[in-house]
Amino acid sequence: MTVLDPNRYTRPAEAAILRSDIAADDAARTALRQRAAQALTALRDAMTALRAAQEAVDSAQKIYDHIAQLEASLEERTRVSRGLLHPIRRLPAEILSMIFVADERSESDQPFIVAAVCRRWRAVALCTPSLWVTVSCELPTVEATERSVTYMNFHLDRSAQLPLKVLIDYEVKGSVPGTSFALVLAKLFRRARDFTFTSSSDTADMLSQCLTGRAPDLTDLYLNDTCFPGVSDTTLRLDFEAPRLRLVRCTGSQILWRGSVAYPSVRTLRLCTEHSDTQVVMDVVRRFPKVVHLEISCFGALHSPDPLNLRAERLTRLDLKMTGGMDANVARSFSFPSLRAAKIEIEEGDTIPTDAMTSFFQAALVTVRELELHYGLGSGIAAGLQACFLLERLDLHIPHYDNDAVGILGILAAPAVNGGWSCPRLHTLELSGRVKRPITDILVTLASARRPGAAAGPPVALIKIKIPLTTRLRSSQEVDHAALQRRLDSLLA
Amino acid sequence: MVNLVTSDNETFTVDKDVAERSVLIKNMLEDVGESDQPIPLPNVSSPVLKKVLEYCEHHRGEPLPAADADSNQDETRKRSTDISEWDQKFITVDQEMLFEIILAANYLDIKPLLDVGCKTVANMIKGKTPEEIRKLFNIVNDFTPEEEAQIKKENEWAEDR
Repeated sequence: MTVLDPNRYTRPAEAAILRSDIAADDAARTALRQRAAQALTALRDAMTALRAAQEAVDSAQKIYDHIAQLEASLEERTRVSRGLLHPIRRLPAEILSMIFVADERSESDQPFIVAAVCRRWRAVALCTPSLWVTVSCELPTVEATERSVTYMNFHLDRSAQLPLKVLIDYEVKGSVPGTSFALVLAKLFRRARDFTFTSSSDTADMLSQCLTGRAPDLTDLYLNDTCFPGVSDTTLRLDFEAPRLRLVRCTGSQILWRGSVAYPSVRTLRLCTEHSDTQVVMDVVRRFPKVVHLEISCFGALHSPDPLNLRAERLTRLDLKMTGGMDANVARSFSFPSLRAAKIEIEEGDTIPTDAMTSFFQAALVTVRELELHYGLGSGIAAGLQACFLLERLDLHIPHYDNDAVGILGILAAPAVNGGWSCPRLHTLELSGRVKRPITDILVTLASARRPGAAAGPPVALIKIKIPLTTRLRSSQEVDHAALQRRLDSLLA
Repeated sequence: MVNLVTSDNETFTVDKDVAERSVLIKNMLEDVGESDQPIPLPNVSSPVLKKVLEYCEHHRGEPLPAADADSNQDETRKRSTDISEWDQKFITVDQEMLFEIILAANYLDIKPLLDVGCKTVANMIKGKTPEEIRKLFNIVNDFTPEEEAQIKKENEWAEDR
């Protein structure tokens, strides 16, 4: 029954009147008025009941809210109580400090995070200098670079006087950092144990100003500013004292060492810098007299009107890349009496005259046990190799085996007229690249002549010739490497 | 054999070389000489000592860290968080026990165990925000709003890196 149903509050006779247009008589009107009055009273009663119900609901809601509030308060109290009872509160400060520094690979913002947990943790973090020794920044914008000054000062202050590990990657292209950054960078350098600065901009002048003075704890220095146009015209002028410096790696801008400062503590030196020429090599020998491992890319020419003294007494490993050529005066100036292993990359063999190449081998490589030759060979190497009488392992990484390769393998394949062998201690020969037919025959001859037990063979027999395995032959000149390897293995077995 | 008495009065009898993984016990044994006297460990309860002895038993015979290793601990040399597989399983306990083991290792002077405990907690913290760390260890943030604002600013600088 709907609200509009006339039968709801009337009897059938009255309802019939209401449904029709007939005027009600007096009796019916009276009855209808009475009904209306009754309905009104019922409505008022209902409204009163509704208000009472609403009040009850409101009251219940208040009680519910109050209980919920009590519950939240109790939960908070319980949480605080649990926190008060948590065993981490019983850890002495020194153990908390040990926990903070337990992870050397943690994120560089770790000190700031632990210092933001609570007052106690902050106090411990601020009293743990070793927590703040790593300063690591990637600086993508000028704004970030300026803001980083504040952060770097936090590290400088909070690490007390401990040596720092500084890693800065200045990624802003075409912009040089401001003075405040340079000042703080200079401070960091003087406090650093490891200092790494990589840059995508010309920061050579700024670095030249920052990397000065005395860096008493500096052991490792890495500078790299290769990724910007014009790097070939920039010069990094270095003049600092670092009595503990062991490792130097510089890539990018040309380096000029100022003053007369030397670094006798440096054992490993890697230079891949612009315009590296005779002067750079002379500097290396003079300023790093006790270098043990030298990796140097000489993009400039190694020329000199007179012979030089390029002696590195303790050098045991040399990685030399030459693209600019070398004359005989420089070639015969090298002297590395302790050299054991060398990797020589010559981009264009014909940039070095034959006599210079031979002289270089005779002067620099006479004591090597392991030798890798990469790219272009150049004539003169075969004759030079004859001086390497201690050579035990020779790796040839050559894309094309031409006449020079034939010459090198040829002098190894047979004794000299006087019966003496070149590289008499050679036991391993490894080749990369595609081996073609003329080389195949020489390799077989070489293996036969130097195999274990060969009549009139060298004092140390060859035990391994390794050639690369190729899956597809490109020309009729190429050979089946797998078959050749099997043949060589059986000869040397 | 050595008798160890815990705070709850339980006695553990262990081999001398197991007990001597603890520098504290080793020194005590050296001080008292040959004696059957039990060694009281008032700061260690029996469940914790049981766990600690399990560690000492597993690592018995391994070289002990040099005596000056601690004092020589280079302030700038942080350690890695690598933990061996066995140690990792061993230390997989509830937080209550983890911190009890750390406290016991500190008291008993068992440096390798202390290291394992510290590294484990460091691993739990790693990569978490301050709020997550608070939740993890039921730590109350007791900074004033001013301090909190200052720290937030400081951390914004750090996040820029």
